[in-house]
Amino acid sequence: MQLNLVASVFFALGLLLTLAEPVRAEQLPQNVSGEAVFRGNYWRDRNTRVLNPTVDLRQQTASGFGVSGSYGLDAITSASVAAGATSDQPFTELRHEVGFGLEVPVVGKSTISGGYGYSTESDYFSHTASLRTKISLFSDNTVLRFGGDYTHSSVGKRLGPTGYLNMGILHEGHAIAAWTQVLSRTMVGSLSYELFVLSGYQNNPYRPVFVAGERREFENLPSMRLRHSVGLSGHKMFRFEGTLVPHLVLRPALRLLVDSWGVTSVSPEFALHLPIGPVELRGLLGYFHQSEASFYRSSCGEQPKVFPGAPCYAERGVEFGSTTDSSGNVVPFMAYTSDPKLGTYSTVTTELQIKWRMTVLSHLGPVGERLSRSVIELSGGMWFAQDAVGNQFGIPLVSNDTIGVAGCAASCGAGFAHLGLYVPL
Amino acid sequence: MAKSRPQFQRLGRAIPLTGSLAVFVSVSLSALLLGGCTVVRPYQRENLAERCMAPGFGDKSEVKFRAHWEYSRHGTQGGFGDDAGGGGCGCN
Repeated sequence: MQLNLVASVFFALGLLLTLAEPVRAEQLPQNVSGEAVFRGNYWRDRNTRVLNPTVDLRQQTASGFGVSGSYGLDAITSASVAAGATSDQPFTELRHEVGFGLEVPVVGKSTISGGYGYSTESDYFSHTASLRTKISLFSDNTVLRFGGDYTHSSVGKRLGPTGYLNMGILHEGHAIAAWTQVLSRTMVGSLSYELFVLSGYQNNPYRPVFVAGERREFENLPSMRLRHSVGLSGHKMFRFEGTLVPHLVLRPALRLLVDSWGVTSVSPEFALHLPIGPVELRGLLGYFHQSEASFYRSSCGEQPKVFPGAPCYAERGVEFGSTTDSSGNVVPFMAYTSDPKLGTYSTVTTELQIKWRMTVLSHLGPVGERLSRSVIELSGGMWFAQDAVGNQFGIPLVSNDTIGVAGCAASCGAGFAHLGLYVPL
Repeated sequence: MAKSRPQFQRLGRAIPLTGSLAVFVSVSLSALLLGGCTVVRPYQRENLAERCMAPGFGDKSEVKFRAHWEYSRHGTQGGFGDDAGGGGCGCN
């Protein structure tokens, strides 16, 4: 119902704006010198609703110095059933995230930058330090970026309103190498590689799993994980003669991810940007497929309260490497998880976005002239999921779903919407 | 039971590219490499200055949210070029 309303509003707004100024399409330039971005993000699935307002500030001087700051809030209903909760309550979990950065020019347009971020919620606290270098070559046609981050996270478990149990520490290292290449006046491409090294406590302390038949235990994941990711994207603009629709931009992209737990995923996506009069439409279609972790099992057969394909161990876990017991003996490490996101599944994401440049403000003096470069963004979409992830997170999209009360068996999805405002600084 | 770090397994596991994906990646990489011969001057960047031509996966603030969303819903990390967030569980 809400999604239908959002779609109707988008359509009506787009039609109105197009009819209002049908002669010439507006340019939506990047605000290179600085920008304030206010966004409100909304997510709704079967178990969880998330409101996520954010603000990002960025200012750059002509000499190349730059500062940035950000704040974000995650207001979440109680953790989803998949995360171990048994009921849904109004927004009871809050996560605050702040960050700032500083960029210093080195030679030409090449820069070095650093930043710090902090995230806090009732049972998870993270500090992140970042360092980047950007190397600009061939008149800024080639941009190379290298960098790294370190994140220190303290993981706890809430035991009622006041009780708190410290569960462990997670150290996370992140290295990135990225290459952006201008290919022509109408084409640009990007390629990136990232490495994540996670060491420490990685379990979800709330999420139990059936192990050895009917024994429910909290998951036991390996303490070390290496993750590799490759991202590839390209933009191609096609120019037209007319002024109402001056161009069309196609943006194919691909992400490949693989890790030391045996998880592999492929995620191609395709975006299309189409300016029509004062608005720009963007359609996005993305596909995600993942192959399960090598210790993921769904081997209990039919169990009450266990969705088809959800993790469940008939045995006492899966041997994954080794560990030492209390006597110092080397013994097999038995891994088991209850996270459906470590299983095999596929999802499809669709989104329609409208951006509108506020040119109507240009008549209101100098301030209006400046604000006329602001852009309003509206978007909404659907996320469709299959298998255990769809069973647990998806809203049944058909009325006669066989497990529609407790989960989703057939056609499963979730919805999201965003509202954004981009103001030049 | 004291838990130590389990041995790495399948560190060298190859990315299971299908034939079409391998072709896509190869062609894209070749295009990137060959494109290095072209130099577009600053005064020729009218098209590249458009917001929808910003390299990568979209506006930076949008990508930042998207990376966090992907982490929460798909359990993935990385792939967007630069998505260093401020941490956080995202385990809903």
